[in-house]
Amino acid sequence: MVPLVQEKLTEMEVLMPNDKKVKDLMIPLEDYPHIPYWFTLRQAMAIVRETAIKYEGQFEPRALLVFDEKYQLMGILTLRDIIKGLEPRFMQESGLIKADPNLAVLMGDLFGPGLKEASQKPVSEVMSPIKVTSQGNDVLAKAIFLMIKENVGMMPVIQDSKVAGMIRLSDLFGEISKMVLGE
Amino acid sequence: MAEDIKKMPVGAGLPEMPEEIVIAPKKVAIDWKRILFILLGLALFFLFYFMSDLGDAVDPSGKHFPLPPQGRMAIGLFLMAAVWWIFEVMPIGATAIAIGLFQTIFMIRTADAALKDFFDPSVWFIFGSVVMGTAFSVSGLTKRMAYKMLNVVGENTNFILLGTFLIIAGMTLLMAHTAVAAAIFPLLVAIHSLYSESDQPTRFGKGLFIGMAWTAGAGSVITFLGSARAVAGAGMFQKFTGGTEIGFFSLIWYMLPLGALMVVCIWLIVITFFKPERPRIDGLRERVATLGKELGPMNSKEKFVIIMVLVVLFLFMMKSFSPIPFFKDMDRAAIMIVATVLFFITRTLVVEDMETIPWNIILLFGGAMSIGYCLYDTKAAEWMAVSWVSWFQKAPWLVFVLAIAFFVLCMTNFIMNVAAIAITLPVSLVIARYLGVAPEVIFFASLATAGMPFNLLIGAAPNAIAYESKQFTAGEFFTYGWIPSIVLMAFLAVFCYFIWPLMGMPVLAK
Repeated sequence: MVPLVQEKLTEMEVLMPNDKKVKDLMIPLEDYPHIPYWFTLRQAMAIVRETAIKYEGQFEPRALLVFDEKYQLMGILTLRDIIKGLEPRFMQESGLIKADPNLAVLMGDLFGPGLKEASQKPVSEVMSPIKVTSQGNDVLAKAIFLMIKENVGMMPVIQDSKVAGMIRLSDLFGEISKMVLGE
Repeated sequence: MAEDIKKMPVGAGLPEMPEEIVIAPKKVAIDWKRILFILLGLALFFLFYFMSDLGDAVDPSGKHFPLPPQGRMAIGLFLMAAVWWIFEVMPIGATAIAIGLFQTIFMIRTADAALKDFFDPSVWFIFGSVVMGTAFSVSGLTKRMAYKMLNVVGENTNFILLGTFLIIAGMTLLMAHTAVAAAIFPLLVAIHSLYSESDQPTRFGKGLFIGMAWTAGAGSVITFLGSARAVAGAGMFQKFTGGTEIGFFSLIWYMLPLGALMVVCIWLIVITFFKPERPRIDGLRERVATLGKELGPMNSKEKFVIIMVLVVLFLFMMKSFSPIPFFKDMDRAAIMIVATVLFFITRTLVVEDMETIPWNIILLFGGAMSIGYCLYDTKAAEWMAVSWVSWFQKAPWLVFVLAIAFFVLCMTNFIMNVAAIAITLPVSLVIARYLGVAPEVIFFASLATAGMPFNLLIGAAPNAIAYESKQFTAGEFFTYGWIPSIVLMAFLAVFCYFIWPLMGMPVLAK
């Protein structure tokens, strides 16, 4: 898969206007709620809901940015992370134990017992650490390649060793759509 | 919108948002304990490395056994490996690699001898049995067997416990007990969540998971497929006794009664000490039937895995009972790998499955073989045995055999059971010669206790897997573990003294 992606991206480098850089598409950090790392999953979920209500469903955050006490970016808490954190223990996989979704048939209610307790976990235990970053002057193809390779939906954009904003896969997808479907 | 977000109350703790934000540096924590044990292991090795020669060991007839420098270093290496294995300073497989490395660079044995042990035929056998376990899981056969069992036992909690233990023990006859525990664990968690709505541990949960770990051990001693320790032990036994082979069926013949008895006893212990709070789990049968329906009829992969198991068993039978040299001389490891190759030829398994082979475990066995042979080849095993033989001189043979078995039982709780066998067998087989005890009884008694670490979580992978259920504490596991451990020792005494001799096992040297 990767060599193929590489090939496609090289093609894309040619097709994609190289004058567009990651910094042109990035969004400001303030577009996402900010939370400290000691917040519980429950608090994080409340913020997701509050935000959605506030914007009457027009905007529902798909992620929250997690900061430390010095307001340095520690990680991103996606909805997927929250759900994984709430999963009952039987879904937890280790090197040996493989979860089997079919067994949900045996369980009582959705997510079974322990859900309340799990929601008290701090977000730092389940957030996605910053795996990959992009430079503001990177071409879009490179950003796409990084995100596909690392399987992330968004990543911080760095300029002068500071976090300048976030770049999302959906924004990059928009650019690809324009190439495929026309403006 | 950004302005609004800025004003959102996100709770206490975050200061005012600064103009410039950086990515938080990764926190690096220094694990001092790990460093301490790494150094302790190295210190032990170098202590023996630089030590002046130790005195000869003298046997009862006055014969002297010198300890060559390589033997002294081998003892140091063995202590280092033990410390590193017990405290897991690095992956256990990596510690095994260190065993090969140290032998080579410090000239304890030649690279050829030290490193070839890592792919000893016994290790290939283990490789084959791991692949067999993978094929069971990948094909879905494990699940099918488990659902069938639940369907048969119904909803009575005591019978669910019995059925669970029997299916676990039954599966360990065909595949490694670690694979069995890993495959059954999610199902047991689901059963328990149906039993109890709360997240708190229950007596049923304690019994279910502790029993799972115990029976995985008890069942795994019966055949060569249930664990690698028997294969590794048989490989060593053959080397140390000058070619006596432990046959596939002779192991089953002697171990089946003991293993089966232990499984039943474990069930009795569990329903006595962890008496389920509720007599039934209503609705279980119906839900299991739904699960069974989802599986549909048996697919071709499952059928092929069953055929392969039968082929392997047939080849073992031919090896044990047929007079045809082609079969009789076939190596145990080769028989196991027949299945491995056929699984890949028929695409029952694919390259991704090959890449899930737990190298950590395979290397561990390689390292255990290497340190076992190292102690033997460098005469360290002989020297240690003769040094200790005077302790047992006045003791009846049964006391000696039980003492060895108990020593293995203690060791196997601390280190991987194959390592416990690797450490004890070379020494105990030499002592046995002095006391007039047949090597077979030592081998089988040691193997029985090596497979049943009932007290400590680090004793075996199924123990650790069971602990993931959060139904019991490490302290509870330790305390209750004494009950089956004592029962096992009592049974072993009876087996060594009465039953095994009746079944034809030599107990006294001719």
